[in-house]
Amino acid sequence: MTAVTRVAPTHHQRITFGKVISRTLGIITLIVSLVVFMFPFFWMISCSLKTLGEVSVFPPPILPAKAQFVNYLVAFQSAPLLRYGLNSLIVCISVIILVIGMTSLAAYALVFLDIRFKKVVFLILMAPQMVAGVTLMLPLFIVLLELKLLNTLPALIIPYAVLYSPFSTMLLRGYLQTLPKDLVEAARVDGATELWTLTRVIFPLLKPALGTVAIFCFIWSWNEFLYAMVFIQKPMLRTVSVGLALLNSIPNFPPQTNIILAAATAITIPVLVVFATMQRQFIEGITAGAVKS
Amino acid sequence: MTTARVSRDTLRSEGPRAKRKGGLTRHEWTALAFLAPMLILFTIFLLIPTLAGFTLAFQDWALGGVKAPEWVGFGNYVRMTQEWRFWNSLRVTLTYAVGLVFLPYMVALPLALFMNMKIKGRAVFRTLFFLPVVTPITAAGLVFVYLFNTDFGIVNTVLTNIGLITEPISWLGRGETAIPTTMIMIIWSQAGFNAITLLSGLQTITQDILEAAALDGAKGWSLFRYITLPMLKPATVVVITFSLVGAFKMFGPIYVMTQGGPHRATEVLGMYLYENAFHYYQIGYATALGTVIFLICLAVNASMDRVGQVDWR
Repeated sequence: MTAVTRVAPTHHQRITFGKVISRTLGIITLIVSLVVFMFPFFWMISCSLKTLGEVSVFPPPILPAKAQFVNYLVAFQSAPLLRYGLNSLIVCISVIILVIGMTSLAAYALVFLDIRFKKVVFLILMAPQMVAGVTLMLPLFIVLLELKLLNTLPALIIPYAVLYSPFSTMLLRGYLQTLPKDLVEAARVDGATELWTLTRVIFPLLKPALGTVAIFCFIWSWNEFLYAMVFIQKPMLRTVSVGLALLNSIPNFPPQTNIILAAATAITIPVLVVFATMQRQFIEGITAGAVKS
Repeated sequence: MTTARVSRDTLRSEGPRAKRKGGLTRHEWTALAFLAPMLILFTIFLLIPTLAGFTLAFQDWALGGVKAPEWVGFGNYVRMTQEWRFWNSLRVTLTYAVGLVFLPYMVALPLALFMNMKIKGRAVFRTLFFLPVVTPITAAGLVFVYLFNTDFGIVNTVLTNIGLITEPISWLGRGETAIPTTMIMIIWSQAGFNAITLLSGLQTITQDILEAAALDGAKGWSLFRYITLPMLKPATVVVITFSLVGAFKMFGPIYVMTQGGPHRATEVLGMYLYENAFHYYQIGYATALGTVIFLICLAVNASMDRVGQVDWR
């Protein structure tokens, strides 16, 4: 009896001591890693505000002597960055609308309609994941060529919508499965059509999930590089990511690092802002995908 | 009122499958209409290109050339085995794949474990570690090229100052350093995704499980080995599948940072495919390369499914 009471507290204390150590160690590791992870951002912004002399000297200064905001003006004047931004924005918004429209219909059919071969249909809807990226690029290029869609923004919008749809279908299906079936049954009993039920009853309830889908589509479409480079050759139709990579192909674009990094900062900030304001929904979307599979 | 009654009765007695029109039930017709937009786009932009891809791979076709496409059977695949650049790109891709299976995971796991401790400002850490994931790869590539610049790069500055090197290193200009350097950028851009995914896996380990494990005497390493690691299996499978498929399909980071150089030292399969398609206009050969990448990714997915079924305890 006495032995037990004597041992228990020491045991308890040892764990707490170990916990304090590991906590401290953990916080130090996290902070050090954070500094390393954030450094490229700091350096990008810092160098985008330096003079040409300050980016081409060894050793480089940590901060510019005086912030050269004029670099951004030069970048925007030398390359049609606003045009690239507008193109990207058109692509992003169209992809969001298309994906949400298609996949909410599909997810509703998968969850609330009594159909045969549900598993097969679901697998078919997941198919784009298998061929996305460089594998599909050339065959898609040929099809877009035949359809005379190359060098138009739909050449990006439609493939993006197809490739991003599995994620959305999966997320919306998971979300719809948590809703009570009675909602739909009640509407049916009242003689509502399925489309009416989807748009008037289900859609408002889907808002959080649709938000997650929209953020994902925005960030993926804004950042996509391979298709954007291959399917669009006209300089004025380029999206931001390609526009940035091909700055050196623009006649008279100053090849200075500070100007290029100013352009890089300018195209990165919109995604970072979208992510930072909506990060909770974004991370929940990833979590949902990871835990389910 | 009456119609509602009637339809409720029909639903009850026979169910929606009862009303058959041409073999499909009323629900199935609706489902078909709901799925139609997606199925039409899938057919035109996924099914047809994929099938076309598999037939193109058996043809010799130069884009913009005067010669009509010519059927060559397995010729493109035979040619692959004879090209040193194919074997080189396969070797380079495998190097990236091996590195990217382990390194981003090993960077992300400690971050996830530490973020899982109840610390203040966890949400801030989570958000900031994720920023590289959403950064456009072209912007990230340009920044890293400058970080590792031979003459004015901060990496060479720091290493010289602490006395690790005496002369600046041309990180992206030499074969043996180009792969590790590009890999650092890719790890930087992936680790946040891996850490968040692993963190979500760690959060499935509830207090009850931990208490039960403590009663069984599990602590420290044995707790990690027999409780944490097996519980992390689903998240780990997701992370590793993403990293592997990403490595085999890699293009963007390489194009932006090295374009496959120096001397093809970083020429991955994706880059080799791109060069064949848009520099040499060898569409048939490039498509055949695409089918090889496709088959590799298929094998990766299948084997990761297997790994997911194995019991880790």
